[in-house]
Amino acid sequence: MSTRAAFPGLLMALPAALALLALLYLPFFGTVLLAFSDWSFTPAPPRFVGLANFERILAEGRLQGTLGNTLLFALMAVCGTLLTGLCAALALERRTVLNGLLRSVALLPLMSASVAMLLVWEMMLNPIVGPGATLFALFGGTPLHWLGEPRLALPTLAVIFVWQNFGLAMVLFLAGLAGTEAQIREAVRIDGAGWADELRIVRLPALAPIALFVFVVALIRALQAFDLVAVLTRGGPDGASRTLIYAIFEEAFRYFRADVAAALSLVFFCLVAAIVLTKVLVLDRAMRGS
Amino acid sequence: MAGTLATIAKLLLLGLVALPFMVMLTVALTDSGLMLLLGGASQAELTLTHLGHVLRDGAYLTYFINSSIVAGGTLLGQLLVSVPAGFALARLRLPGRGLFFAAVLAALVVPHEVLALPLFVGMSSLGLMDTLVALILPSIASPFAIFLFRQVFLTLPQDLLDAAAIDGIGSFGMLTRIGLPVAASAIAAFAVISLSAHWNDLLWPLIVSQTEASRTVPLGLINYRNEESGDDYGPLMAACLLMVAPLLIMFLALQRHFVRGLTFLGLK
Amino acid sequence: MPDLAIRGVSKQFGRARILDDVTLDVVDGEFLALLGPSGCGKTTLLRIVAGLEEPSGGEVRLGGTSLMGVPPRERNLAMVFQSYALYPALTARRNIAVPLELRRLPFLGRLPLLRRLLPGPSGRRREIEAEVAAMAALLHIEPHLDRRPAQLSGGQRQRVALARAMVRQPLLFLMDEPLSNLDAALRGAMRIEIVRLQRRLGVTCLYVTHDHAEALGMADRVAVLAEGRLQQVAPPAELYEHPANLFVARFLARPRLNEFPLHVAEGGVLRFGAHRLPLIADIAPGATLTLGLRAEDLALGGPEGPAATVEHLEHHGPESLVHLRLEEGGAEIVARLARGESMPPRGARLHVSPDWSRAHLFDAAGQAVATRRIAAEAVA
Repeated sequence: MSTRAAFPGLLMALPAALALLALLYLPFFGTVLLAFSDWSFTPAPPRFVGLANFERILAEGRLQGTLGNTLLFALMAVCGTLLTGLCAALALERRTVLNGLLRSVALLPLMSASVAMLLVWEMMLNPIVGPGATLFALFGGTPLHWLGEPRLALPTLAVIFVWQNFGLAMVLFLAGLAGTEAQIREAVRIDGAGWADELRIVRLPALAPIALFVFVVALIRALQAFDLVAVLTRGGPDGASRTLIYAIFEEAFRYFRADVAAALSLVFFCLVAAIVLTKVLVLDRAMRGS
Repeated sequence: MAGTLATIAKLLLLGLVALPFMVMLTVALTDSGLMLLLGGASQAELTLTHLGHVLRDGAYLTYFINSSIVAGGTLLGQLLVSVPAGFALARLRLPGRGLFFAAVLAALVVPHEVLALPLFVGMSSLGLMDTLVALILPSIASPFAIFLFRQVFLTLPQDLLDAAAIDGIGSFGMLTRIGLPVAASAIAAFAVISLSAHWNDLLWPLIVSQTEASRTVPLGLINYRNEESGDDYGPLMAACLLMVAPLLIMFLALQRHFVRGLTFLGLK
Repeated sequence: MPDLAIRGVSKQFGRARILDDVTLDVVDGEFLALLGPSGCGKTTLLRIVAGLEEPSGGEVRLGGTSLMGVPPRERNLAMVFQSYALYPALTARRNIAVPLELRRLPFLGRLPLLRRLLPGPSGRRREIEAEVAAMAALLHIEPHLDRRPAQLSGGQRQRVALARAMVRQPLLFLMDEPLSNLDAALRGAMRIEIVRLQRRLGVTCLYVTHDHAEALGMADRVAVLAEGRLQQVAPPAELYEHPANLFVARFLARPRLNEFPLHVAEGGVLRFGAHRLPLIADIAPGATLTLGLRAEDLALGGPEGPAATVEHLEHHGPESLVHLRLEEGGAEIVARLARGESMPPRGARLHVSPDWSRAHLFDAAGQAVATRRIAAEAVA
């Protein structure tokens, strides 16, 4: 290819290539290197230490619960988001004015500022001052310390996550539902189907591929949920809500252990990559099969 | 009958969804709204004192400006870098196109949190800590944006470009005159996603920003919450309201684009 | 098998009147085609009969019982859609079985996993399978039964759609342009098969199409619709030979109807060029009538008749079309010649002699005028 002909293309692609290289790939390899080294913001150059950092992760009490917390949170958050999003999509499917309005309402949490709304939630869940507390008092119970109880913290965060994200699931499901031909739904009615049969024969199968998408999207977002933890619980109480993403932050910028943080980052990356790869492989095969 | 029942159920549930917003509005704009909710007061008056309190706080203004600069600057940078790259990948002669595209795809898998630490080290060694530049720079490399615009430009009919070539229009002309109009709505959708993501970003500013000068609104809010103890939530909620308001306005104005952007994001 | 009675059905969408007071009877076992140009309301009428839409006025009765307000699933009809509307997630076999399963199996027995566990309805399930197999044999789709719609060709999908409609032996078949997505060759073969099946099963069939050749070729009777109003209902031959109005005459004419405005002269006589036609009908002199002549009813090259020049020739295999321009008045006409008849050369000037026994006369409002045989006399 003559250089002259390739010039415009190269020129247009160059900034992006440089940006990716300098701001993405370079730091990525930095993380990989750090994960296997012992450097921790020290002036001394890093030394290679093999898997030592990973061993420390597994051994240390503070970090042991992290993976468990992360998976538990992800499970609750993703299932909640999927179910709520699906119900919202099914309920608001018909194009009425009311439904349009309600769809916008469903998207409000997604669209609004994360940190600001988290502070609102914090205020609402405050056991002394928050409105939730009053409700409990009305019914004669003692208010629960939603974010302060070790057993309650993670589920509470999951609920807030669902509140934030179910709109996204809803939008994706609605797109999937819109794809079903009107004639197929009429055909099934003529064949004798009630609403339950229609759901079973036409709509749910149409949603199956989308559901997989939504699952993966929600899962990755759940793994990346930093703001929730950072604003509301800071990993507590007693590390009950320390998820992987927060642990990375803590190790690097609270405890100044860059090497451990890098190792955790690598674990995080492998997790996300595994999910994406599985999705691509499974989805592709499913598409080809049908 | 079932219809009205369903409608009532829908309204109730979505009322619950909207609850935090209502609470925020109540506390921010009334003098004892919170107490009213708790049944401790019998009435509350609408007031702008909390808002005034926040707006008079010069620091908040700084945060607002910083956030705006960061969000806007990031978007600008992303567009300047990704739109031409997407066009080149889709439509121009590019040696190593396959490799470049593969690199973009691979980069899509990498979550940005994984890069935070080395980027911090890098920014620090370049002396860029605590600057808005440091806040903007790393986000400019957006594999998602490059991928998105490539997809958009792939839909351009080749005939159109051939005709332009015969007319003597060069590649840059094709990008600006033919590509951009077509990409306009994708750009709008992307803009909505990018602006809200960077307006809301907490992690990176938390790492980079050390003084008030470079603080963004999310940090400012956290700061305010941490320092201002006590039970007067009014100013805090007012500050939250101010942070949320621009996003909601943008959302209401550009809802269609937002939904389309979300679908792109999901199908990524 | 009951008769279908459509009485005064109207449908309004905002300002637009899609159907206007349509009254139609479909006899048990008959194949009735609903023919008309796009937008004439024929599909809407079909959907009203199916229960997918409610009429703004009028009613539909099946076997004497009113169908108004009855949901589609309780009407015991079957419908074949233009797009076939097959369930994409199910195999052809399961697609065909759906109507039977929905009606015969209890709710739990239909659920995908539970069905295998429940002992009860297995007898009924075997019945269903047998019926599906029988229908598949009838439509020659046995080898495709375990494939999904996405894996089938257009023609195969069509047969699966037909099988699904027919398997439950409904009271009425409704078909909405089922052949329009197929290529021409396949369409011809499927037409014959559909009619054969319908006769064999003896089910009343309401068939919507915009293709007049299809309607004339398949139906026992054809109902022509235009702009929401019924124009004429008659067996194909009668429709063709005795169109009730100008619209029907035009719609069924290929390539087009030759039309001539004529004045009624003194003594109830029509002037057609240099010819006078004694008109045996009760029409006042001075009225304007339209004379319609089909292309095959014009003979060329006789010794007398209006003169015309040949402008253009179209050669088709079994026939040819000759486009001429009349000398007097300059109107363009088309004549059809059968294979073997000699074709005049372009530019030739010859006489056109119509077959008056086949001429159609329409009044100013487009309605057919009843006439007895017209004979023409040449006036020098």
